[in-house]
Amino acid sequence: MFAGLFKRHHKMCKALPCSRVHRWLGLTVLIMILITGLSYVVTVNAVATQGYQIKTLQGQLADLKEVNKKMEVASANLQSLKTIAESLPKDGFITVERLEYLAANPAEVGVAVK
Amino acid sequence: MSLSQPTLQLTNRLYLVRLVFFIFLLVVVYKLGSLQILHYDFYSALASRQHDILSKLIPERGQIFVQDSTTSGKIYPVAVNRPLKLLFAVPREIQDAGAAARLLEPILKIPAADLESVLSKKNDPYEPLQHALPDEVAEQIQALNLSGLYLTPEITRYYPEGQTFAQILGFLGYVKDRQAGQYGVEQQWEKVLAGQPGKLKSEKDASGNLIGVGEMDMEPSVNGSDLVLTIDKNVQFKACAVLDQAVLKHGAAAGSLIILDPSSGAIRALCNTPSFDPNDYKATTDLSSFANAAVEEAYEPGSVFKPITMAAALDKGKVTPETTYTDTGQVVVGSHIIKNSDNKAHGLQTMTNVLENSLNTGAVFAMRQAGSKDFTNYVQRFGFGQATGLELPHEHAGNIKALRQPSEINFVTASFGQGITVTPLQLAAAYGAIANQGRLFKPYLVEEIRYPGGKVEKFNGETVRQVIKPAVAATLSAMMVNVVEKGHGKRAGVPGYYVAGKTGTAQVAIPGGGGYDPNKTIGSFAGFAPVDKPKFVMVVKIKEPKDVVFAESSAAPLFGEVAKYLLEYYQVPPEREVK
Repeated sequence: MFAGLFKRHHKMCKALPCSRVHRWLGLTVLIMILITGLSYVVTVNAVATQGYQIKTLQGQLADLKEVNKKMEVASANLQSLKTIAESLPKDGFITVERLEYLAANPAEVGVAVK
Repeated sequence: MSLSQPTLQLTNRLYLVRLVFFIFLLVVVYKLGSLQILHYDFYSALASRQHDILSKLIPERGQIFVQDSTTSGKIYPVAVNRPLKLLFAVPREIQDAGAAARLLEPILKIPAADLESVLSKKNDPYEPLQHALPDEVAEQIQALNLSGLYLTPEITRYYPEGQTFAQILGFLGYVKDRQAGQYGVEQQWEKVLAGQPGKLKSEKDASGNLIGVGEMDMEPSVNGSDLVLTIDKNVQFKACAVLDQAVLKHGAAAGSLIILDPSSGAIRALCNTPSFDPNDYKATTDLSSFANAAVEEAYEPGSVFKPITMAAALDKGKVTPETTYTDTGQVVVGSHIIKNSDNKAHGLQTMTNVLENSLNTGAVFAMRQAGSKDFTNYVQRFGFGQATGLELPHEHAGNIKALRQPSEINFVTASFGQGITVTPLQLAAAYGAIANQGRLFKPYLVEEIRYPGGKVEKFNGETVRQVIKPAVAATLSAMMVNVVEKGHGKRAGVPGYYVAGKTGTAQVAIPGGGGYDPNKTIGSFAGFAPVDKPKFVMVVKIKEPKDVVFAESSAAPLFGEVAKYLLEYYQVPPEREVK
């Protein structure tokens, strides 16, 4: 590869004065370095920005999970028989005193399906 | 052509500059090589401390659920994870420990002097102050805006039903600074509930936060699995409430109650009194209340064991319900005289009468008919003297060692439930076998394990063995109905239904030997209903009631009240006209 580059350089030097060839080469390399450096900076910046966005979203997710957990606990509390038993008198429920089972002829009993 | 003097001097100076640069270059190369190659490990570690985070990923603990037979398929949480806050201090950042302590005292309810001694440790980088702070309290502390105090999220365990399920669940406590289940399901199923912690190694930025798109080496945590128990929450609530009332009414030392489904061995309720509040287990002063007496405490059952003796004699074909013997009121065994509990002689009695009148002499007769060896065999086949394998810790196997000693008095006393010890759980399983056509099921408590990935593992009843023939089970059940209809178990009956059962009033041995305490008894009732297709088997035990002596006045009414509730709850229509 380097032999090929050297040959090209030698050919260019034959066509043009060597000092001008060197100047153009140096300028090209410099521009390429600048472009590469700039694109690297832009890429890294974009990635870092996304990283912060991800971090923000992760924080929001954690907050939502915590809120969800608290609501689950509140729901469990409301469903607990301990809570329900305490609220029964306030809600006007009374104890069932007597049960009566009705003797029905199965042929006469219809069951609504919908 | 030779160079002029000035040109030569310039050339030499140029050589010197080149030499200096070359030497400088050599030094730089050497230094780079030294830093990056020779001392690579040291600087890499230094950079890692600065740039890397290595954190443990804490898994979420599995929750525990119970069922409600009135809402098919729906489950209810009885142990959940609740996000709260941990307050910790970095004492070296606190400027005025005394002032901070005085401000925190009314909020944390900890004396200022104690707080100040913790906050004034200047070289201390971390001191936890209080766990499980609710949001309201955390907000009050945040409003103080004190330096060196931090709040961090903390997950704690919460039991919405409080004491009702405490004996089954246990609680989540600490073992050597690590959270671990203590007692009950929390302890027995610790590995399933706890999950597995993970690890995360990543890079952090200057403010100490994780770089989301940086290099990451992660071993994810595995959350714990949820458990669904066989317990019916309504049955548990009602049964425990009635047990508490009964123990209070009789001034008893303790009480236990177990209800299981005889067709599968599933435990529907398990209660003990006294109990404790798992949400505040540290406030418990009586440590014995942590123990699950229904499973861990073996006792001499007394007459409630007589159906087991009768089952052996019936199954061997040695007696029938009409087989008679003459009750003289006592049986002499060597130097021992065994009497009936009422000290009476009842004359000609059938085997059914033996259970109705709870005759010790009749139990001895039945045992002798079966033969001591076969009697022992049946006792073992009913599951006594060995743990049932229920998924709770510290299960007691009971003690039937007396039956392995060739002494007739041991078999005689065992025939009416003295001289051997059993647990209420073993009694429930054995009576379950009688109710279930002679087939013994292994009691179980966990119906499902729900893994984090969605997989569900279900457990069903496991048959242990056929203990007695189905016809014998039916015969014995009918004899036990007579106990409730005509015998000592009348108060266990439910109008309109045929309830089978047996009372037991056992004496309590004096600790350290020396016979039985004349002032103490343990009243039990074991039974099932309705006798045709039993929906439940229940064992109740009242320990040392103060106002009554016999189980027919303590355990039997308790059984009757819960049995009435269960028959209505399971919507079992009456089997006969209610008079």
